Amino acid sequence: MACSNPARRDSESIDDFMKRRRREVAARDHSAEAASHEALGRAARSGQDLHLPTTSDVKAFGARLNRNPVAIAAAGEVAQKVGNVAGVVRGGAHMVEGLVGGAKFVSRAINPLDPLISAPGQSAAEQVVNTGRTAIAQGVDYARRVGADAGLPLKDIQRGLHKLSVDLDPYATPSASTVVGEVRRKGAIGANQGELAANIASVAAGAPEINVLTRSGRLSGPAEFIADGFSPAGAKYLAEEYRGMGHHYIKRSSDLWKKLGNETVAKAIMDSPFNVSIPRRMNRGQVQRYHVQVDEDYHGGKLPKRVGGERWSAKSLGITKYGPIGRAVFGAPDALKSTVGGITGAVGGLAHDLTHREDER
Amino acid sequence: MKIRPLAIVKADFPDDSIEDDNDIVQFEGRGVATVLAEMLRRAGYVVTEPEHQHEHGWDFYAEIGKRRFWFQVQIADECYISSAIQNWFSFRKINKRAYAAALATLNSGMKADPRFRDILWHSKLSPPGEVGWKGPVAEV
Repeated sequence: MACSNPARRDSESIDDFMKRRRREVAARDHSAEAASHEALGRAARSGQDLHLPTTSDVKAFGARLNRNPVAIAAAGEVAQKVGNVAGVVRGGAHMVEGLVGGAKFVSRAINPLDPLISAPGQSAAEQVVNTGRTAIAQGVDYARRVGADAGLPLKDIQRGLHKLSVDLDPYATPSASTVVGEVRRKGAIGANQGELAANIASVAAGAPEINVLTRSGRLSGPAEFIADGFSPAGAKYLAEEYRGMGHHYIKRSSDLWKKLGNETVAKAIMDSPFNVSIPRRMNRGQVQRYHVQVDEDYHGGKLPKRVGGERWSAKSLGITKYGPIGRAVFGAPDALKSTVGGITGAVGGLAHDLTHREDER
Repeated sequence: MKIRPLAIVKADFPDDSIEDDNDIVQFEGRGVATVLAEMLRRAGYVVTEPEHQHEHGWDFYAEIGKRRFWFQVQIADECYISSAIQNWFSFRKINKRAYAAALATLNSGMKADPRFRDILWHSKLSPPGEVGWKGPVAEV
């Protein structure tokens, strides 16, 4: 039977209330004990004399110290420094863990037998495809949500910045009311700071590949192309790094070049890095796919005779092209995006594309 | 008037690509582009010589009056003949009619040449597997 009690939550029975109180007391004793042990240790190191003859005295001293503002601040500072070091170690451990995972994945991806010896849907190549599909599905879902709520991207950015602030800035959240709580809070923040520092240092030292390697969506090997039906020699060729002419953002077929008048100037601009996107860190097969998606006049080609002379066709592989917006955004060369701003370039390309698409309407 | 600017055809031409020891140095399609250019030339267009455009294959331009068109031949599993009109306001009826006429010239030329088979016209963004049109233009 439930009875009335001001300290008790409304839906709580008396039994539950008693259990909760016992837990709270035990926790308070535990944190008080921890605080007193820490204080005792500090006193021992600094030679301070503490007269605490009985267990009750120790607990009472710990409870007082646990709520002492000076002790809270001092313990928090120490915890943050310790957390920094722990975070650097954690960052390094995660990096190594990622490398090992990435290396295992690479060895599977380049094993032509992987699709045969893996469970259905679990081969490295299928995982790459599934990762891409999931990313696209998430992107489409997010785009739908943005369609329903135009302020969503801004809210998400605000949420992200708030989370970052809480994770890394000790002043973004209030201090805990006890030494133990503050040690936990600042220790966690210190560890996050340390891990971030380790990651930044790895990038600064030229190790961003470490992180790239661990993202399976970026991986591709011959297995992917064997799954597409290519011979091992053809698949190996497609898995090699791309070194071709790239994709022209404003197409060679555009009337713009003719209108520029001077053929030499037009050609110089047309083939400049501002108009030609040459994907780096992508293999031939990935570039073929990218090229088809962003260029409405590209459909595939032939592999050299030395690797079998097979045909690579977007139509046979079922690859669809991006619409005008996708082509404008994903087809823009890096130099154009970073120099004049992707949005301006994308809008220009899109406008050009839309006016020329009229023919087909 | 709706125009389908991309022809996907089976072209029985010898592989005219050139390779060195390592890779393709000149992609195939020159023979097809030369034949198509000649079809337009015979119909009164001023046509440039086909130029090699690496992975894109071969392209050339054809002019008639104030209208200028671009054509590209690319060989993958089949022969892909892309085209574009190079005039501002390509959606104006006068330009569309000229563009449609140029494509119709190629269509009839290819139909008359036994080396071209299964000629179907598509939008450039047609999804794989879409059934193409038998001609490049439809009045709607």
